[in-house]
Order: sequence, then structure tokens, then C-alpha cells
Amino acid sequence: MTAYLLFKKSLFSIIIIIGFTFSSFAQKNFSLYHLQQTNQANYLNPGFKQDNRVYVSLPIGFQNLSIMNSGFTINRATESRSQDDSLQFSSKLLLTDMKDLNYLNFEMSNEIFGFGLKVKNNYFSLNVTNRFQTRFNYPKDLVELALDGNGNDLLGERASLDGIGLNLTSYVEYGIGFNRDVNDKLTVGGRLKLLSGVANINTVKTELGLTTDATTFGLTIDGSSEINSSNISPFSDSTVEYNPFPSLFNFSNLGFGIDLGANYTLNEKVSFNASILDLGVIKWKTNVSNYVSENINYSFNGIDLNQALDSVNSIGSDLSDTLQSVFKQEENSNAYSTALRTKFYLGTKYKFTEVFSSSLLLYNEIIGQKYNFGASVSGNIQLKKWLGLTVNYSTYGRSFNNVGFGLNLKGGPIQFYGMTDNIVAILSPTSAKHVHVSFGMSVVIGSKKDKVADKVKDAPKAPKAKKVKQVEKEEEEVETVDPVQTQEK
Amino acid sequence: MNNKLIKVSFFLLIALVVSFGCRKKVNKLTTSGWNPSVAVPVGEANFVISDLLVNIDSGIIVSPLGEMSIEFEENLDSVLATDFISLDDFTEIFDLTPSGLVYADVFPNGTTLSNSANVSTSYSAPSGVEINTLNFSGGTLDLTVTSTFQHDAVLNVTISDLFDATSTPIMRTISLVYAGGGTTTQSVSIDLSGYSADFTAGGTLTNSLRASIDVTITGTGNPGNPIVGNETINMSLGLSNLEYENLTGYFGQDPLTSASDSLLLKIFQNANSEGNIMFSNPSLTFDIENSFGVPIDINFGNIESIDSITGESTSLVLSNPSLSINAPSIMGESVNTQLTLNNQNTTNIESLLGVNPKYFKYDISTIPNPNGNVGQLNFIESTSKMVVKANLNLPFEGKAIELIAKDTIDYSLDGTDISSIESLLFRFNVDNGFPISFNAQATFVDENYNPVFTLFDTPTSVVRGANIDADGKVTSSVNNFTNVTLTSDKIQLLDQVKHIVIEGEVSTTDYQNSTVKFYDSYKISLKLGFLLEVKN
Repeated sequence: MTAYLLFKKSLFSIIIIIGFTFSSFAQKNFSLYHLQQTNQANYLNPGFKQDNRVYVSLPIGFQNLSIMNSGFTINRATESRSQDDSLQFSSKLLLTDMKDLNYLNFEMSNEIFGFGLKVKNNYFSLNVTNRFQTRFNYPKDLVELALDGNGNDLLGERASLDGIGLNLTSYVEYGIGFNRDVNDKLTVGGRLKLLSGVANINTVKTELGLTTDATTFGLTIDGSSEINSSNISPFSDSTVEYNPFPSLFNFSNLGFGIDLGANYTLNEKVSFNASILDLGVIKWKTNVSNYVSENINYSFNGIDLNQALDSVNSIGSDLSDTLQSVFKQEENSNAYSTALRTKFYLGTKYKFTEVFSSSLLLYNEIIGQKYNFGASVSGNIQLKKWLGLTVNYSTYGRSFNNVGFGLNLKGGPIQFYGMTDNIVAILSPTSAKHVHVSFGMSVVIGSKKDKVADKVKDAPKAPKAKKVKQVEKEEEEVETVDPVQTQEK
Repeated sequence: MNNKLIKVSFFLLIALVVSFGCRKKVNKLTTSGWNPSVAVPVGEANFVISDLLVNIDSGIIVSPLGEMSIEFEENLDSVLATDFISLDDFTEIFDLTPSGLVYADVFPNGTTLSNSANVSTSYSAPSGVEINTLNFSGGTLDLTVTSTFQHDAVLNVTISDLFDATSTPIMRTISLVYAGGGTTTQSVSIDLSGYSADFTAGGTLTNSLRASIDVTITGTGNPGNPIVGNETINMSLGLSNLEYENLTGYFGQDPLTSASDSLLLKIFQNANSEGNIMFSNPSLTFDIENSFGVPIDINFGNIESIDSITGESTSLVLSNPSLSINAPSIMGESVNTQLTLNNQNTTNIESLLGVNPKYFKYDISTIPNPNGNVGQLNFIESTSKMVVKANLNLPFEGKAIELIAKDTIDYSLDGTDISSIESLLFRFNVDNGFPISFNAQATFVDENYNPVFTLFDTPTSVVRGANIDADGKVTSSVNNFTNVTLTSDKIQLLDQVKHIVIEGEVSTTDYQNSTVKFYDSYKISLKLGFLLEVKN
């Protein structure tokens, strides 16, 4: 009974943790994408037009943290107890919203160093970024097994654990970016990335099912799995010596990636933008352990009672031997490759005024064999040259109550930015599946818009339409002069 | 326009935030509400009929067609050669004193006095036994001469009916040397191993041995000791520790044996008086192995079964209670005689085995030479024997009608915490290939055997009999599962339970109209699982 209580508490704790770990994912960062005046938006679309002549992401680089549980929220999984106002879990409620396969994502990226320099119509950038991505796929039936057991709705059914697995990737990205204003309307850009893999778990395939016979309660386990890993064994095997620090830069697990983007201004009101990020692979070679189990099909109908009538002594060991034989895994240390999580952004922006614009953004993400879709609509405000805001609504990963907010503040050469794709998660964590926070600080020098704004401010009072045209004309003139000379003027 | 859009946007933002702000109080989250049900297979077992009968009796017989029967075999009696005929010790004294003795002061030295005698013994064989010939495997012939003469004497003894291996009669010379005193004695012992004897006195008698003895007394002393006139000289002939290799003759009519015993039929030991069982074709076979060269009759005094519950007995009605046992015609042979009693030659053997028999009781006796001495020689060897075996054969063919079996097992919760169990369902899934059904009930009782609760509301069919054809052979198995549910109220009562009384009612398939047969291919499969509902 003690073991049972411990198990119960542990399970309960796990559910709580999962419930509170909301999220976002990967480089999905709608608020940052909408705050295009932030230099780090270039990470999401290398084709965004860059206004600052120089930026250095110091002292605090771009930090991004996102977590997402696609399966359920605390609010949806609990109900009030009849005897008091305490909340209790309801497995039926919890399972109602779940899809057959759900996931718990965690991603973190830390910009260790970032630098950008604009030379005429060309913009060059460098970055070193640490990335950590993990995704745990959990089938609905797994949760149902834990909460309801196999004796309720799953009796006589196959509890499908197909797709269960963990994918984890940690690597350091060394990127070189280039961006060019092709003409007045079109800006294109790209980033080449050299990657040094630190650790990886790659669940290539899991097909696993547990069928409980409705009559005999016999259990049948079927399935197969293939899991690759690199630099994970040191965490489970103390005899393996491993120092992770050199992996940050020794490129033993070498990878390549590329980001591409473009921004097209149709007219003074409407522009379109698109990007594709993280096209590439990493080849994992160090401390590789690959595990393959093929075509498991094992039925357990209980112990052999004939044998038990004679002697119970050997039953445990016999069963253990059988299970080891059935679930035997083939292990190898062959190098393997994993694809980066490729993302696509496709957006449009409508500028109502110089101050207010609205954007529509579509997002696609490919994770192995899985495909995720997101969309966002935003209102963007550039109140002053030192203040930019975005408020957006987005949907992603079966999460539909995401209201994002982003802020960009600039004081002198220091630019601070902070944003979230789901502020609701902070205000009401029990109702959120998804939370996301990004923030950072940069040193920015030579903002063209600042100068344009100054010119607008200093210009004689005139009809607005005329003033705008005048500013645009002067803007074109500014772009043709040397930055230093412009400063001097 | 711009201000309006901004205001609208922020209004929408605030509205969304407020709407999502209606959150639940997580600090009041409890661990209750988790009530999983876990279905677990406990085990499975497959039994064939021999598995089920292994603890009942070992005599399971399978015919080439797979028909099964159970045999209870008992060695009723054994008669060995020594039980039949045992040779007693025997002694006879012969007076060999010469006739006409008169007193003489001096019987001169060297003078002789002679006497010759032909004697015949009459060996005292067991009552009614007349021995013709005998080959000894052991024994001793003792010849002892005693003389009161004061002179030396010599006896030449020839036993003409005792022969050695070369058919030479026994001849011995016994010398007595007078050394002073009143009596002179001299003995001779002969080991009879390998000797043979003819007790017929040349075909005229039985139990008789003949001998001739020549006595010579020679004057001793100087000038010679006297003869008083009343001296005697005699010889005793003794046979002792006699063992035979074989013997012939007529062995009389004394009963060889009279045995009474009972046979335990374990198969019925857990049955009680309720219900009925009928074996369609039982048989009781007596198997007698005999190597005595003697006509023997065996008499069955009483064969009966004793009801294990009531103690009532039922006797087998026999038309002829006597049986002549076959005898070998020459030495060294052994012949068998079988008597099978079945429903062809008895009238009530089925009822004898009908209800709860536990013991099978019998009385037998055997009589040799039932017709007296008809002139044909009997013979016996040292290795001869007669062994009587009884074999009760019960083919598994018949019917059982609501036969009640009952057992009690001890039970104790032994401090196990079951407070988290909402209900427990045991499921017995039986695929039965036997033509037997089983209705069961279990009563949970306290230490005084007062019922606490019963497992089922009414006795429930746990095993359903397999389907049979017109010959009573199973054509297909029948699957049946039974749920045994311990609800929460019963679980709470388990603390009081100290014993479980299991009662079952066994019937064969369609017993109203059919009898069933059992084959070794029959099997039963049992799968046991439980469904546990946890409460929180």
C-alpha cells in the first residue's frame, strides 16, 4: 500500500507539472516577428529590412524560452468536489480535449553573441546561439492508462502508445547572415549556420500497443521502436567519461543549416514577407547509442498455474527471462543524422498609419514526421521612435487562447525588448497550454528611422500627405549618403 | 481613426485578459478523484484428465482408442510353498538288540554276536498329506546308536529309500568302542541337501522310509567282559530341518488361506451422501497365478461395498461363488486363472458402485483337492506359490447426477490493508472439454462457522459441461466465464472471515438422457484474471 500511495503521489505530481508547463515552440515567436523594428526579428526572417547600421547584442543577448503542453490545461482537467470547493482531477474532463497524440515541448535559445552591420544596401550579421529543444510525445491512451487504468474504456481495446517518445536536441549555432535591399520594394536575406551538436535523443519510430482482452484480461503488447542517442549515455552510465564543454565548439557532431527570407513592399500600405528557417541537418557521431526493437508481439495471460501448483520459486525468474527475451533490443553505435526543425513564416502587413499597422501571419513547422500549424493576427504600434508595441492573437498546437504582447524600448543606443506570445498564461496559468517569454538587450547605433522621425518633427507644418511624401523623398536621399556623413549633416 | 483603432485594440486585449483571468484556485487542488480500474491476468492452466486424477489414484488406464478407466488393484492373498506344506522334524528309534542274550561271566575277547534288521519308518507328514517322493534342498539325517553292552559294536546301516545324487542309497558304518562305563553312544549326521527320497516303499505306501541294519558285537576286555543279559543296543533315525526342492504326493484338503480385507477407493473420498454416480460398465477381475500342481477351488465368501458416508453395505450377488483354479501339469510351470465379474454375469455390480462407495470389501478362501484323492499326484516346489489379485476396473463411462463435493479452506486477511479497494472482480474463464458441469457456491464464515456472506446469491454455474454425441463422447468444448465480484460491502466484511466453505455440485452433460465417456484427449483450460477498482 505504501508503494501504491507513493505511485499515486508521483503520478499526481507529474500531472501537475505537465499541467503547469505551458508553452510555445521552436523559433515560433509571433510577437517578435510582428516587432520588426527589433534587430532580433531578423532571426525569424532574414529578409526583413534592417534600419540600424550597427547592433551588438550585449550585455544580454536574445533570450527565448517556450514551453507547451498540447494535451490539456488545469482548468479543463479539474472540477469542483461536491463536498467542498476543492478541485479534483477528472480523468474524463482531462481526456476530453486530448488528441490521440499530444506533446510537451520545451525550447530555449540563448544568444551568446550577436552583431550586425549595415553597409549601404547590404547588411551583415554574426551570431552565436545556444539552442536546446525537446519534445515529449505522449499518446492520449497513455494518460488514460495511468488515470483510468486498463479496466474501463480501454478494456477490450488496444491502448495505442504509437508515437510515444522523446526528441531532444542541444547544439550551438554559429551563424553568418546577409541581407540586401534589392530595390525599393524587395529585401532578401539569408543566414548560413554551422552547428556543433552537444547531445541528442531521436525517437525515430515507436509503435507500441497494449491490448487488454475483455474476457480473460490477458495483456498483449505489440510494437517496435528505434531510438538514437548521442552523448546521453554519460547521464545513465557513470562509467562513460564525457565533458560536454568541448562539444560546444569542437564540431564533433557537425551540422549545417540555412535560413532564407524576403520582404516585399507592394505599396506604401501593404507589404508581404516570408521566411524559411533551419533547413539543415546535424550528424551525430560521438557517444552514439542506438536501440532497435523489431516486431514485438507478446501475450501475457498470467503465470503458469500448472507450474505454480508444483513450485512458485522459479516463476519470477522465468517470467523475467521471458520478458528480457521478448523485449530484447539490438544496440549499435552507428552515426546518424537528424534534420533541424524547419519552420516557415508567411505574413502580410497593412500599414494604417505611420503609427499603427496590422499583420497577419501564418506559421508552419516540421518536426520529424509531424507537422504543426499556427496563425497570428496583430496590431502594431510605433508610438515614438523609442517605443514599439505589438498586441496579437495567435493559435498554435491546439491552443486557441493565446494573446501576445511585445514591447520594444529604446533609450539612446540601448534597446530593450521583451515579449510573450501568450500573456494569458501569466495571468491565468491554469487555463493556458502555452507560454512563451523572450527578452534581450542590444546596443543599436544609427537608426535611420530616428533620423527620419527627427526630420519629420523638425519639418514646417504642412498637409500630412505632403509631409509624408517629403519625408519619403528625403529618406531616399539619406540612404544614398555615407552614414558617417549623414551623421555630420 | 487611429485613436479609435488603438482604443478598440486595447479594449479587446483587456477583455481577453479579463476573460481568461477567471481561473481556478490551484491551491485547492486535491488528489481525490483518481479511481483507476486495473485488469490483470493472474494465470492460466491447462489440465488433461490424468492431471486431475494424479492425486486420486495412479491406476489410470488408457485404451488404444483413448478410452479411460481407473483401476484399483490389490494383492488379496499370496500362498507360498511353505504355507502349503511344511515338513516337520521326525525321529524314530529302532531296537537292534540280538535276541536270546544270557548271562556270561566272560564274553571272550574276539567273540562276536550279530543281529540284522529291516526296518520301516512312518514319517509323520502334515495332516492329510501323503508324500510320495521328495527332493531335499536341506535337512539333516541323524543316526544315533546307543549300547549298554560292555563290548565294542559295529552297525552297517543302509537306508534304501534315501538316495544321493547318483541314486545310491545311504549306507553308513557306525562303530562303538567300549571305554568303560554303562552306556556307549555314537552318532552320524548326514546333510540331506541334494538327496532324494522315495516314501512309497516300492509303490505300496506313502510317508514311508525303509532301512536295513546289521549289528555285530565283538567281545572286549581280557579275557572278556561279561554279558549281563539285559543289555540293549538301538538306533534312532532322525530327520530335522527338512527343506524340499519339490515333493509329490497327495496334499490333502486343508484350506490354504482365508483372507478378508478392504480396498480404498480414493476417488470418492470428498463426496458426500448427496447425489448419485453410476458407472456404466464396471468390472471386478480376480487374477490368480498358480504354480502348485494341485487342484484348488477359490470361494468368494462376500464381496461388498461400504458407503463412505452412511456405512451401509451392498453385497455383490454371484451366481456361482466358487472358482476352480487352473493348475500346472508339470513342475516349473505357472498358470493363470481369471474371473471377471461384470454386469453380464452379476446382477447388481453397477449398484454396488453407485453411491459414495469408499471401501470395497471382500472375503475369500481356497481349498486344495476339492474332489479328494482321485489318484493324480499333486506336486509342489519350493518356489511354488499362488497369488490372488483383485482388480476393480471403472471405465470412465456413466453419469453423475448432482453429486455434491465440499471442502473448507482456512482464510485470514492477515492485516492486509484493503481500504483502497473499491471492488474486486475475479473472472474465471473456463474452456471445458470435459462432459461435466460444476455449480459452485462459496460461503465465507467466521470462526464459529457462522456465515458472513456468500460469494453468489445462488449456486452459480462455473463450469459448463462439454457437448457430447450419441455415444457420450465430447464433440466440442464449452466456454464459460464467471465473474466473482467482491463489492465494497463484502470487502469490509472480510475482516470477520476465518474460513471459506466451498461447495460444488457436479453433474455430467445431459445426465437425464445420456451417459458420457471420458477420453484421454479431453482437456480443460482455466484462465484467471482480476479487475481491481481503486478508490480514492
